[in-house]
Amino acid sequence: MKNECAKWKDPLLEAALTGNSGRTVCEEHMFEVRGLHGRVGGPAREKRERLDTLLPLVAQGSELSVDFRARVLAAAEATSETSRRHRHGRNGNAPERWRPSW
Amino acid sequence: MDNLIARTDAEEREAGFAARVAENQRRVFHIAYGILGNRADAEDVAQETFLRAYQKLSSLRESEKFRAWVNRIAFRLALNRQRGMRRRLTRDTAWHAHGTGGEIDGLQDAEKRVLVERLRNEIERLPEKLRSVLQLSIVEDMDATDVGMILGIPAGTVRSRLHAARKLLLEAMK
Repeated sequence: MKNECAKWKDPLLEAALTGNSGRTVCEEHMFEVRGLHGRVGGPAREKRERLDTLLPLVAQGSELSVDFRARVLAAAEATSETSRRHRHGRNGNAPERWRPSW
Repeated sequence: MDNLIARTDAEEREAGFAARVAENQRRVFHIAYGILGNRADAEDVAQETFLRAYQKLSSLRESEKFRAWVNRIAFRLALNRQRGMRRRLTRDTAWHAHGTGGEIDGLQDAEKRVLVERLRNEIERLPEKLRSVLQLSIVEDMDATDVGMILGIPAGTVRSRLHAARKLLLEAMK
């Protein structure tokens, strides 16, 4: 890295972090000076790639149990059954054992 | 006769609901998992999400909005559970001085588990606005519009917050 390269360090790092591939003045400079690309852009690009690999695992590191849907549907059915009974009770339809025999 | 019609309606409703669970279950689970990082808790939240959706199904006027609706329910429930977990953790650590002991399941590779755990800790340190965008954006099958619909912000804001969050994470990765 040459002395005048120091001013490019931050913009280059930023470009590498953000994945900006536009051919900018600083990118031109980077290719002009041998080795600068590897020293500044390389590690940052590696970090970005590592982040891209790991981030999905934060959300998708695990999978649902195979019987998940069956459990949800059974629970939903149980809920609707309970509320149906509740509704009938509230509407005045008394349960069988309370119904008068006449 | 009325009973028969009512039963057919209920059966149709249940069949429709089963199809919707099938379409949305994976995404809903991953929304919760991204926030909670624990399979058991994420499954509980996913189940509760669908139960709430089932109970309130009649209040959803446009059926095509089901996807956005359950996404939002899952996100809110997972955040609530996470807050509860944090409160419990603060209470517990007041008595027992041990680490968070967060569990990452589903990952076989030990090194990867450590890295994901470290990344999860860094995500926890992000400002809330950036954190929510990131946690939702990393869910497969969720684009900026989906994330924006949950958080009530435009897709462009989602993208810029995501960019800022990634930048902070990259700076934190040594």
